[in-house]
Amino acid sequence: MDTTLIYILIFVLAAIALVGIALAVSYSSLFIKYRKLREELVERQKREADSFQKTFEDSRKQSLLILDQAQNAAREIVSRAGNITNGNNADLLKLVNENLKMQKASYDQALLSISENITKTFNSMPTDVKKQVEVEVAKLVSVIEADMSTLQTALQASLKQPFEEAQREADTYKKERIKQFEGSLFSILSDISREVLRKELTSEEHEKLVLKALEEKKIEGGI
Amino acid sequence: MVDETLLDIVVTTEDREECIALIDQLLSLIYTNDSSLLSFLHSDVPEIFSKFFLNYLQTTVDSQSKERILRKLRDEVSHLEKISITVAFRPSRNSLEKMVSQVRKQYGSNMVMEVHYNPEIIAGAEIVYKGIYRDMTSRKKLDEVLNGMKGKAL
Repeated sequence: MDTTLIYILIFVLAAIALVGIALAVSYSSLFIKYRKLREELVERQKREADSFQKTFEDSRKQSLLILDQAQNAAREIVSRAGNITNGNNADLLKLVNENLKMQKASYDQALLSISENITKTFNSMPTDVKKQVEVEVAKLVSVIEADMSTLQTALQASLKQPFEEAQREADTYKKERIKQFEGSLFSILSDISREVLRKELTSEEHEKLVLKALEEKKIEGGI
Repeated sequence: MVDETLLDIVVTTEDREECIALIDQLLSLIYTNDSSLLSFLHSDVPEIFSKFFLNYLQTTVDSQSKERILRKLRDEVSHLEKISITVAFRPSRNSLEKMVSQVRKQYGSNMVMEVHYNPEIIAGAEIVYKGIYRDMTSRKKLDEVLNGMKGKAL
């Protein structure tokens, strides 16, 4: 073989080896960079998810706080309602309506604020993070729903008894008052009737009524 | 059988008591003399009684017969059966006679009335006979009407 050809072959092989090494180094560097980026992405997703969860947790706490306040306010209304059952029912209804309106306005406002915060946070997230967040949100929603259901049941139970009690007291009071009124009315009516009859009857009429009474005994078969 | 003339004058239990008291007085006088007996009947006795006893005693001559008659009358009067009637007015003698007529028609001729006055019954009568009470008053009827109205209203 020609010496020149051998040198050329060696050079080509060396060149190929160098290119291979260069490629290997380059690939290795790229792989490291990829791993680094991947780790950063995972870290970021975790951070975003934590942030979102924190926001949701705050929102949940806030909503629970509002519900708690509403519940306390409702208890206070019921307590006050129980104390004024002997008063005017219209006043009671007015008081309840006013408090309910006030609580609803407060709740609506808080809900709007929470909703705005969540939307803002959510929109700023990358798509892949959003997907993960959506899963977390679904979980959170189910937890909140369960909490809300429990709260609703507890609230209903706590409101039901005092309201029923207040209603019963109001009904009893109403019946007593009506009874007293009817009693007075019939007592007066009875007195007036007796007085009028006594004054209006003559001796002849008395006599006739006595004779009729004595005759009526015969109809009944005697005494 | 009770003398009908006697029944005409003994209408109430008060009449009966008065009649018995009068017979007792007459019994104490029959063995004195006729003039004192007649004088008593003419002066101190209500007219309806004096007429009745004069009629009886004038036709009887001897004292023993008079006593027998008076004792018989006393016994009859004592055994008249009482019915208690409460009314809401002060009945006149005429009213009492009408009432006793009705009573005797219903319960027999030997009845005598014990009459009470109570304006609270309004009208009609409360009757008690042999311990049984019957309320035939307007007060009861009025109460029934008012209670009916009350029941409907409540």
